[in-house]
Amino acid sequence: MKNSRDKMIVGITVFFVSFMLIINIRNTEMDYDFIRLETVEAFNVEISDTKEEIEALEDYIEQKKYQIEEYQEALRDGTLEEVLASEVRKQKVNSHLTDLKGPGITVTLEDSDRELDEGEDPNNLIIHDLDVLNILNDLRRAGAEALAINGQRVTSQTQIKCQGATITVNDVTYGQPFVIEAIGDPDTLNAAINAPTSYAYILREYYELPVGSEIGDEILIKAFDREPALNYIEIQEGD
Amino acid sequence: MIFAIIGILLGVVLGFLVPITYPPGFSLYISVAILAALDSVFGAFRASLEEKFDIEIFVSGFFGNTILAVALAYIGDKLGVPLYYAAIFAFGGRLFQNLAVIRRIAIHRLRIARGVSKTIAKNKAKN
Repeated sequence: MKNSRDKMIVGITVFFVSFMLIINIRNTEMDYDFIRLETVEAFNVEISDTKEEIEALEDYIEQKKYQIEEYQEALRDGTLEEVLASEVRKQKVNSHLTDLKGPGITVTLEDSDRELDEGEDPNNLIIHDLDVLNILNDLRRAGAEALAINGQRVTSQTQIKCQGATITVNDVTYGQPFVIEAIGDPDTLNAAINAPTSYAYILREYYELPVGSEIGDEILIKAFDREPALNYIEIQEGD
Repeated sequence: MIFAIIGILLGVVLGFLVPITYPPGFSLYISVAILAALDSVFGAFRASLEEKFDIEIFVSGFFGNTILAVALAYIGDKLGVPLYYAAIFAFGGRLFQNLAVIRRIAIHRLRIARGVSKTIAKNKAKN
């Protein structure tokens, strides 16, 4: 090695070699797991789901905090009874135990009186429990807040069942016509009955059953007039 | 010599500090490249001990051998024939050869140094 430039070059090359050597050792020492892209994606989805869940829980905590504050304020002001009474009212509405009124729609279903086509199933002319159920479901999807069939409040325990040409609702049997009342946004409820994709439209247009609907500004829906039968359920304390 | 030692130390330190990773598929190529580069470095060391060192030969060999080795490994991969064996045998074999020559020269010089110190001691004793 004659001059310092040569020495520099040698130093640089030696530096490269040792650098690469160490990098290579470190890389081959590392544990690699082969993960498919789908797995990465699945993990990402899981993470974002969990984040959303956390957010919802935080909202819930915030809500409960607000509630506690409300109670404490009521305790200070001596209006606790009022707050509790309004709470009871809210719970009664939720459990179908109060009479309700509001804008909504009345749907009337009747058996058809047209002549049977040759070889046609006579069932095609009759309103069945499934028709009522499907229309109820359409109304619920349209945001119905309270529902009644022939004055019988539809609760979470209401059964709707065919009994020959009649339908049993809340253990009371009714013949046709069947009147469904629903409280909610009248326009969307009306659309749920008259839109070309709705079940009622199919009944009216294809089976030629007389399906009537009428928008009302003040529809009255009675409370569920009996105690709900709760023999098996118990309240789960804590989480 | 000082430059080389500084280079090695710097390379080792930086290698541990810099967080470079590469796909495991490249591992073979880099290993072969390192072997070729190491062969060049040992060759240079031997040449400098024999006082035949030529910077141009060293630099061209360093890069040429490395690139050839990697290219061979790549072509072998594409053909399904492990051609990188050629690089490993050639450079590995030469590495040991160079090491053997370096050893011989080192021992020879050591003996001379010892001999010199002995003759110096003898001369001292005579005086």
